[in-house]
Amino acid sequence: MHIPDGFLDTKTMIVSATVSVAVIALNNKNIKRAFDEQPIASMGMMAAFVFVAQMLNFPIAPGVSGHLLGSALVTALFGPAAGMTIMTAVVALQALLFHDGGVMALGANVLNMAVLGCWGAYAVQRIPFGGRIRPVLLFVSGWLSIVLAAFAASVELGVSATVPFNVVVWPMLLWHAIIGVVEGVITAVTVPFLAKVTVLKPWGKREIEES
Amino acid sequence: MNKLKKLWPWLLAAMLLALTPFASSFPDGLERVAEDLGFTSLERNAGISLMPDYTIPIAGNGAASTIIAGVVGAAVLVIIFWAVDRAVRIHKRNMR
Repeated sequence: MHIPDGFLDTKTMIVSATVSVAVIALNNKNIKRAFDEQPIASMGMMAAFVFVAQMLNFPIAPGVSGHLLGSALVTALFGPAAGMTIMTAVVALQALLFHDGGVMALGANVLNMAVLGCWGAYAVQRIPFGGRIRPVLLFVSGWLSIVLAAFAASVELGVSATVPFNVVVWPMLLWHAIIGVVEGVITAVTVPFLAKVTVLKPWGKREIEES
Repeated sequence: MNKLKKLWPWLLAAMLLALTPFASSFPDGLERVAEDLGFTSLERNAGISLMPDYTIPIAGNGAASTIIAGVVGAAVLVIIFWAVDRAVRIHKRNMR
């Protein structure tokens, strides 16, 4: 899922980085609220958890593996604005220290995994059932966050003329639809579990609407 | 009970960390597609990388190397958010 350097052209990298920075800047207020109202130390703990979970590749078919993304998980616990911040920290750390995802392609990776992943998951989790989180919504949001990121990566590869879009999009969606099922199950199991055994609670929709 | 509540996520993270050496080494979704469509060769390496592929260069390629890399990464994230937490607290105190 992490796009390495060299796969994208300059124009795509600049545009995607600009969009990522713009979305994060526009959410300045929401991020501030989230950091004001929620325990930041817990966010660091979940960031570490997501980071370690992303190291664990599981085989999904002979010769293909996938790993957890975690944006649906952190969005369910902390909301999209804080989730985006957590995912950006994880993705940036991977690029800078571990050479997983290119440093030049960081803007695209943040866009795919942090921005689209968290807001896509948020839309699924909070629009149906009057904003109440249900396990089935957690499953769908996990699945969607992966597929959305894979689709965005395909668009970026297509725009960069690395590979034609209609050629790359189907295999990308196929593999990531399978990875997404695992992501969905893990999200649907982990969020209720953490809500039960820790002080973390699924983040309330009310909180963002009151402002 | 309250202590246990704080411990659980760490316990989960530690369990996952212990599993990382057994992670599948198959290419992930994007890498596999890149191989199938033949554009893997476009990949460019950055000049320097402190811990490439989640291993510590001086510790070789073994399980310990991967676990140490995982601990370092997790620790850096915890420290970043801890620092933000401190900054927010100090800011709030000064605002009062």
